[in-house]
Amino acid sequence: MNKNNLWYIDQRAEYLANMYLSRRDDLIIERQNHTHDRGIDILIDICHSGTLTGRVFGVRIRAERSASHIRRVSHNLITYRYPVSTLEIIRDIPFPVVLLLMVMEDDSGYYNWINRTKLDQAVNLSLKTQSVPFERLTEESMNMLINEIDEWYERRIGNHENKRLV
Amino acid sequence: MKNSVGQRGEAIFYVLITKFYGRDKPIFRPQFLGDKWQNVDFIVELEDYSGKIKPFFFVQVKSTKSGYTKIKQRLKVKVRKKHVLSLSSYPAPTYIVGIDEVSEEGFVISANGESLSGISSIPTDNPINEKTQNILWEEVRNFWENSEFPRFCSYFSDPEWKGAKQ
Repeated sequence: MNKNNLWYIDQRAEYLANMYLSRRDDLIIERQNHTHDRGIDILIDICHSGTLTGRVFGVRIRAERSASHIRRVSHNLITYRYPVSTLEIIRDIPFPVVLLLMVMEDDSGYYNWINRTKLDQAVNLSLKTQSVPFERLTEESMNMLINEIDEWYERRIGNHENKRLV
Repeated sequence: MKNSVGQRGEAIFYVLITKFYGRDKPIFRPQFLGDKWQNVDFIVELEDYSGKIKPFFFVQVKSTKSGYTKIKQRLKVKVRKKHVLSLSSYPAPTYIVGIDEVSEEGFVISANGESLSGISSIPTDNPINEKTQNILWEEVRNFWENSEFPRFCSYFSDPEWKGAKQ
């Protein structure tokens, strides 16, 4: 979480993110302790038919008071200059991590992957900031996001099975 | 496996009660009291108040996906008599906020002893919006400004602590 040190930005962004994520009833949302920055603000378990699957992903929240730092490409796509050097901490996290950008002005939310298979493919950590595309959080985009995470785990299982056969 | 009961409703309430409506910051500062707190979910302080005291109020959040009654369109949330009695016993303004988890709306009713029976639905006359926020802020402010508090001299006061209270 970026530290605005303003409760009505930082804390509110977490509740807003929780509101978005809890629109799906197959996600167990667990807020993380903020005593130390471990890279993620929320840990999410994916359930299928009410049962935990063991598939988890992390959420790192960035909050902005207004949309003034956002460049709108279309209704559902924006770009945002993200301080990517702060993402170093998530490099070794072994599960998918999603970046959420929450805007207090209109309670909108946007997401992007910041840790797919390789972090380097998403951002250039040697830069201080980088213009990063974000998609608007909608029911449709949330469905796609969860499907992508499921596929990430499916590929991972496939890779393990291939290694056993060798 | 599900999120803790009420988690989504609490997130929606927090977002609604802290909505900016074009202000520099929210006029309420809510703090979740934790699942172990029996009777109320949030303590909410008034922001932007320059008096000697810090006005606050309590909120019990009740959320539902069950929608509304057919004729009067009241939100279907239940509050048992025992709970209503507990809420009305607080010497500070106390409210029940019904949350429609589907539409992400919240509706305020007083729990200050006007009625002491249980309820199975609440009216939707006061949705949390800018107007309701303003009315609520003034109502709570007026309560504390018009309340008389006897001078309180604690056994635990420190005689070495200089500076009399104004």
